[in-house]
Amino acid sequence: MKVVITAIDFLYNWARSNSVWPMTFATSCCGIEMICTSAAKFDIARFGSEVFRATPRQADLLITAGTVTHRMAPALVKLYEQMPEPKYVLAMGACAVTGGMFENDSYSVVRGVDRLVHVDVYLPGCPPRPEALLDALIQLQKKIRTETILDRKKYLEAHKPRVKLSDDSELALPLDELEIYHWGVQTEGYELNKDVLTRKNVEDNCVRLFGK
Amino acid sequence: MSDYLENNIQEVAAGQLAAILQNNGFNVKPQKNTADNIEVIEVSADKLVEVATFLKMNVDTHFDILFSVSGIDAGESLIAVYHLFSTQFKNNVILKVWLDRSQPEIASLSQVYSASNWHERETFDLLGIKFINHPDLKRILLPEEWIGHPLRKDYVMNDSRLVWNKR
Amino acid sequence: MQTQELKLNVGPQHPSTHGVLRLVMSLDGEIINDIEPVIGYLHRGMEKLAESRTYHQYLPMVDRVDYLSSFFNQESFCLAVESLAGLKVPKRAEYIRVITMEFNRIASHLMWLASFLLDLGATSPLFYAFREREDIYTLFEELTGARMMYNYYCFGGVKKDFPSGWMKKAQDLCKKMPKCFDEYEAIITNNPIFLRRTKDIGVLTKEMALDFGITGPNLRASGIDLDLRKTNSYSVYNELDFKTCLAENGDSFDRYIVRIDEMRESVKIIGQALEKIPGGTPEKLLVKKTNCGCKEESCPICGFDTKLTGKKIVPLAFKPPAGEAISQIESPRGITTCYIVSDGSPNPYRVRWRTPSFSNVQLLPELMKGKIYADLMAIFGSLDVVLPEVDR
Repeated sequence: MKVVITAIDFLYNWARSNSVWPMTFATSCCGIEMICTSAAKFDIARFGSEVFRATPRQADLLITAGTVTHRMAPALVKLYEQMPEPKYVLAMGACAVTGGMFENDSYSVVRGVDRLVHVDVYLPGCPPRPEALLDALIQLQKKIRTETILDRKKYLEAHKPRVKLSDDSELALPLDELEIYHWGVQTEGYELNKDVLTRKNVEDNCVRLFGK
Repeated sequence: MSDYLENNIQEVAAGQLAAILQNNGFNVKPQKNTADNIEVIEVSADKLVEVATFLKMNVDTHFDILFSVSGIDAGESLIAVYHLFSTQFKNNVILKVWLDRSQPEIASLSQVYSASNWHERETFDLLGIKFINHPDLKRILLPEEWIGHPLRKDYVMNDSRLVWNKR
Repeated sequence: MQTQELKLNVGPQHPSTHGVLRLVMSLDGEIINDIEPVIGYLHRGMEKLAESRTYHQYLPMVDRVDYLSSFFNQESFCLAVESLAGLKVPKRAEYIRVITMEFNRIASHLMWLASFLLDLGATSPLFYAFREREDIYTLFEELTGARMMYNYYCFGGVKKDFPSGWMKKAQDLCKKMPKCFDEYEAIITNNPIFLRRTKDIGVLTKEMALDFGITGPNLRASGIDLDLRKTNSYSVYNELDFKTCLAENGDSFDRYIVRIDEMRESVKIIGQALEKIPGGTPEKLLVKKTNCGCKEESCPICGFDTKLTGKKIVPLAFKPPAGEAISQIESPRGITTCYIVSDGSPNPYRVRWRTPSFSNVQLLPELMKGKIYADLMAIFGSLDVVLPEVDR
């Protein structure tokens, strides 16, 4: 039985991965590099992304190119939920991966698209070169080829959005049942930078952080 | 805080535009010029609309473009800054109005220049300066339910609805 | 027959490349009664971020205020800081700045052309325009190391000189460009569909333009002659010879013609600047400097004029004196103003960007009242709005 499934899987994944149709979600500067990738010099159509669909109902891949702010977050989650399965997200650019240069003290930037939706491939760069975007697309194609149709339910579980949208608020609200784990080192390191870095200070802080 | 951001205490000689305004009966105080010699004039809050209309209509000055309306948070007061430009004489002027921090209200210039509509909304959004007689004063750059005015120096972001975005 | 007003939402994500702008429209059949633009979907807090960074730390972030014309943003910030701190810029650096800015103007106008015609339905100018843009980007990549966010100017000059062979490549590109512009004009300017869609559409009268604070090619297409490169010229524009492009009617077709003319003028400016730059190519300059060797200030070969930065600044100790400064430059969309208030500390106290696209979006409801829905993109595309400038 499994033999049949692997054969079907191979054909199914081969067909899907060679024709990934992206959707334009060009918010900011990375959007221009995305357009450059679809222009004549770095042609993305030869990798299967023949057209850039404007509507989420006909697209496979959501390339979040650019900074996502608090006002834009509900729109992104709605677009993601409107895409039919199977769907993928490519976080393009430093602003979509972690918040980029605005991560430190901007008051209205979402620190990374993966706080909102499930991301498959991360692509750093500010902005990433068109060749880098093509490399990320190839990686995504490789990832698609490793999927199986028996695990469809697992993919559905992973694709649930991570924030709650409400009708009367323009902001995205936190989900009660989901806890986002932050790497503790980040907050600690920020406090470290506030002191003057003398040798005694560094040693004391290391004892506090890592124990002795 | 430098005396630059408070009302200038020492007397500065009136530049050309301040002289024209004073000759026509407006009680304005000239301030120190900017580093590239643009005149800065301080206007009191209740005379702003008259001074702006005079500067726009007078044949000697004819400031027909309003470049921007912005604000500065200067500790004990908020300053509203207006930047005007004249296409005929090709010169600039900056008008400053010192406002009380507890009640920062000033008349709106939307009857004089239509460009001030969105600039005043942005200043209200980011700094909290209220413009009286503005046609539609609501937040423009931030979502409507945002709490606080970010560009103030004492702004701390502690909105509990955005805890999912903590660093 | 009973009709009802329809509220339609042109949402924040749309297939044209203007960015994230939302238009809430009230339609009566095909006729637009009212438009309310909703902005703020890309507000990143650029003005607040400046207050917690030093001047040198803020300089790389300045490119992102308007990503299609990042050299202009750097220029306006650097001009303001230089007038605050009293730094003089050497002539060679000014010429390098002018050359890079004019190339950036051509690239920005080409992007506008591509997206405007894509909105109207024509897809081939996109590929033509991006062919030239890739050439310009390759030049910039050789010069600065990055394709889009250059981070090339510093306070008092530029960071590095041209690499060897760059000036020859730039001159070859300048010779090739007017033929490419002729190609675009051949398929667009006399195209009957294009003429039907843009002639007499979106007429902007002079009084309305001045009232709303419109500057740049939109104002020049209505007939008012305001070009900051000619009137309050900054940098070395007063030594270069070019004309201001004007048109009469103020409709979308005139805005297109003005921008095509501006691209041609930019090519002329670059050609002149490449000839007039003090010192010539970097190899010749090196040879002349070793031969001359006098090291006096006023010598035209090894004096102040052929340096790249005016004064060596230590970034950690850079504290301009207390004061304020405004710098105004002519960017591809209009007049960009940067207003800096400093109080003597290493961080700026307040940075305010006045960007031209903010006024252009404000103009849209006035221009669209009573027009049909199909004209929306013809008018909005011709105004050349880039959203990060609006939201900062």
